[in-house]
Amino acid sequence: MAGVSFNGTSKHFDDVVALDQLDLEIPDGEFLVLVGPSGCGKSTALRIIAGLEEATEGTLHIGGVDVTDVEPQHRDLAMVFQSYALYPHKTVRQNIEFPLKSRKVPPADRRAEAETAATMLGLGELMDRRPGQLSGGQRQRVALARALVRRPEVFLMDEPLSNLDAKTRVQTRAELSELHATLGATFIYVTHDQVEAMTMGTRIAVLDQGRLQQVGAPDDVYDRPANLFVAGFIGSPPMNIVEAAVERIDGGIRLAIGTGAFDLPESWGAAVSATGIERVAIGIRPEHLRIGDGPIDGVVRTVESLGHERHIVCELAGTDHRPGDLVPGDLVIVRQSADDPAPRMGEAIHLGAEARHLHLFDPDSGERIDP
Amino acid sequence: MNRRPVNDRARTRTRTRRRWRERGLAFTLLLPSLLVFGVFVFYPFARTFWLGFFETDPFGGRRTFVGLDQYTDTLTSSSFRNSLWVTLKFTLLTVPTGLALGLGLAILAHQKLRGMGFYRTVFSSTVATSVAVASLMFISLLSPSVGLINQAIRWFGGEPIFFLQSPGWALVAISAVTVWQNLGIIFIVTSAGLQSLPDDLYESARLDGASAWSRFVDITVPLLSPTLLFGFVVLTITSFQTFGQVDLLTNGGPLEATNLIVFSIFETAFRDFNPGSAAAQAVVLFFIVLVLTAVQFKILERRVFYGR
Amino acid sequence: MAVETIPASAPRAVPPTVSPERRRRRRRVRSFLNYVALTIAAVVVLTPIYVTIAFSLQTGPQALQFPGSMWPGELDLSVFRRVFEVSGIGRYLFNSALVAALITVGQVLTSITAAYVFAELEFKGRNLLFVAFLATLMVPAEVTIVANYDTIVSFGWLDSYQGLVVPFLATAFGTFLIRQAFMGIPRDLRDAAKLDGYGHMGFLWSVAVPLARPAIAALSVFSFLLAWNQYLWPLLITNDDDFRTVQIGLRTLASSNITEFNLVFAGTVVASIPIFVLLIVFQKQLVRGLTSGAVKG
Repeated sequence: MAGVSFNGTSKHFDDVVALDQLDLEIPDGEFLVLVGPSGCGKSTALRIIAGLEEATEGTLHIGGVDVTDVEPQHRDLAMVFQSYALYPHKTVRQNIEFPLKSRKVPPADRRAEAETAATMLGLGELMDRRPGQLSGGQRQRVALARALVRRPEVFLMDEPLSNLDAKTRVQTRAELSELHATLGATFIYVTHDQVEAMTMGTRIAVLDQGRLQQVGAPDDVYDRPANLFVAGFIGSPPMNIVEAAVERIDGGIRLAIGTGAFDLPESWGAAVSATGIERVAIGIRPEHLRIGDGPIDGVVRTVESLGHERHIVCELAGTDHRPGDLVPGDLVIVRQSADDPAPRMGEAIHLGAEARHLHLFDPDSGERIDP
Repeated sequence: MNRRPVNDRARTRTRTRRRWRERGLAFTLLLPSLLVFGVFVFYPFARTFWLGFFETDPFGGRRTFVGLDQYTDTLTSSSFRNSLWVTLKFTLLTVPTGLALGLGLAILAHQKLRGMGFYRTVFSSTVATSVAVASLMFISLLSPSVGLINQAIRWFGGEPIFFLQSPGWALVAISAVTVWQNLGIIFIVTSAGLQSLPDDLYESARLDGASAWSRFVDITVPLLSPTLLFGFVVLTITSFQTFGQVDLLTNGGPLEATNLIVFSIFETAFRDFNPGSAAAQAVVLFFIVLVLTAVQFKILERRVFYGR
Repeated sequence: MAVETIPASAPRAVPPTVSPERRRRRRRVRSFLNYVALTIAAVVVLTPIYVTIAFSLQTGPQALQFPGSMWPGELDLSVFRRVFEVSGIGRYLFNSALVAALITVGQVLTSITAAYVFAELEFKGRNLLFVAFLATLMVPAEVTIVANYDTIVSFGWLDSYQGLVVPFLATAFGTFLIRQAFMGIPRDLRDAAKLDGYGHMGFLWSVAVPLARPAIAALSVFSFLLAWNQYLWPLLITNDDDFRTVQIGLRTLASSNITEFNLVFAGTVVASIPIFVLLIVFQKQLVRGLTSGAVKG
């Protein structure tokens, strides 16, 4: 049993707040992905779990025990580093055995344990090589084996895939998920790549500027982003976000975007009215925008074909704030299947979406507005 | 949820203990070095200044406090001034010559020719010689009776030259030993400097039609100048520390013609038994070396900034 | 296009060409001249060494007949046996080797531990201590001999190995050299070792030191060479033959055998052989240590 929990944990570096009052409960056996842009505090959070950084405020519990001031070696966890951190002067075998050596495991057992871990990761042939003689993927596996050999309750991974080529990365992603299923240990995984977050995590925690923005299952975070930051960060291509003016008509709400406008369903109208805001940020995922008929007018700017699908960049009519200027008005991306008829560049179009696919946010606070 | 931790006090205590443990470890690891430096560098350094304030009478070793008098006496004494002058001449004789010869050898050896390894080993070989070995080896050249040079002079019908016994020659002879002994290290350092110069500069200079001489003057010398300048300062410092050659070959003579400053300190302290005056001279030596070291650090610093 | 503005009638300058044969010949002449210059330089550099060896093999009168003396007649190696018999050179060599080895081991150890502190540990007062180390570089040993001599006398360390070794057991130069190597070790390795269960000492000896091996090798060779070649200090504090190092032994040999010069030269040769051999053996390590970074891949 080794869940991990942050309780109001903060980390300050001089005047910089790297992590701000983080409250996060990670149950035993979960694969939690900490995701966010660089400098968001995700690595700091991981290093606090590892004991490599001291928390400035708050506490950290592992398996229900307060370990805020426990040395890393007594925390029963292992970590895979972005650089792999293999000891270049030791062979693969010595690297894998190294953590056991410090724990005074007898040599014969050490060897057996290392063999087991190596076999599990297909490193059997490479035991007598040095890290310098291995490929990136192989090094990454040695780092995993070194973490595995101690059978820790918690695995920490700091961007372990970012130095791999695209093909190996996809493969290793699957292997890591499988490993998690086999071991049943708690995995805490840091990445800036939202694709990794979406595909691997049982839950993901989105961080920005040292603050936790949202935590939840990948689909929940994707379908119901808690604020504008999460909405823009999760998903590729990112969610379209357009500001609209709020007009109150007959108790209902009408949103105006450029030359177009549409009425909000009643349930939502009440929620928007309640906030009393004049403008609202509308979010629509590219795959939910439809070209054909709809209330919004636009012009096709570029058409990018990716083979299986198409990304169409449209400029919304009437949003060009400075006519004649080269700065375009609001742009949105429409994601289309390759089977759909492709619009031409410069073509005037209408855009629409189903109301259930709309996300509304307060443009000032960034908070989500739910119907 | 225990949002405000109740165990803040306990934590501070653990952390303070950990800090102290680290500090204790640091102190333990530094202790051997600090002890040695304290006893054999800092303490004697301070004591040398202190000793300079005391005069020792030539018979007893009874010390009397004379304040700054000894410093002024030493600085104005003709013997010490002579030492400074001789040391300066020695520096002028050894440093530029050594650098020029070492650089010459390095340039000569900076080519892709078969057998270059052998020549490089030969040119760096004098690093292995100590002062004593180098000095005695030069006796084989300079001795009036058996020395090779004098044998040759005699064979041609000339009069042997008493290199180490004549006031005009002695310092030159000492300098020759020094230059030869330094040649190896200068060669190694300038060679490394040459090898670090980018090849493409030379290739583009050749395309521009630069002659070998202009490539040397316009590329090699400017690019190598930090290395040369550094070598210049280091060699100057070592020349102010020279002792062995004088002790072995000339004993400071004839007529104090080779009485280099360290030899003078040594003689004053251990032959004339006048530690006070020796200490005063040592203090002067310290300040000279201090200025040179400051220059050296400045160069090193700049080398860091301009990417060597 | 610009090309068309050139009148068709303009004569095009033909660059001077060199036939491959002439070029080859020119290159051969140049490399021959290079070899001549290199050989002359090598001969000049080696002359003192050669003449010393040649003279060590001569007996009295033969040496004075130039140019015959340049070529030793019969090889009479007995002089090398005699130099061991008439002087304490065997003992001197032993003393030098012992003293230099002790100083080397000591300097490497104190440099490693001090370097680790300056590279890895953070505590109040560290900068001050660092400056203190730096300051020792500004005080040449020659400045402090008078006071240090007094210290050695008061310790009763005249004519002792302690006196020859202990003052040199710390080196700021070595500390900075090793510190540089330690600082080149990636931060992640330090963190990984922590998680693998190693404290400062465990990390130092099983990761940092092996990775700093090139720098340590360079320091060892350097320390040994410097210690072996010391002159002023051993001269000052040893009078007893039992504790003299080989450098001071040579001085004694030279001053007491003025007439038997071949003996003096034989002593010189014997005294320089160990360090020549050592430098030839460790040349590569020294160069590698000075040129390659500590951690690759």
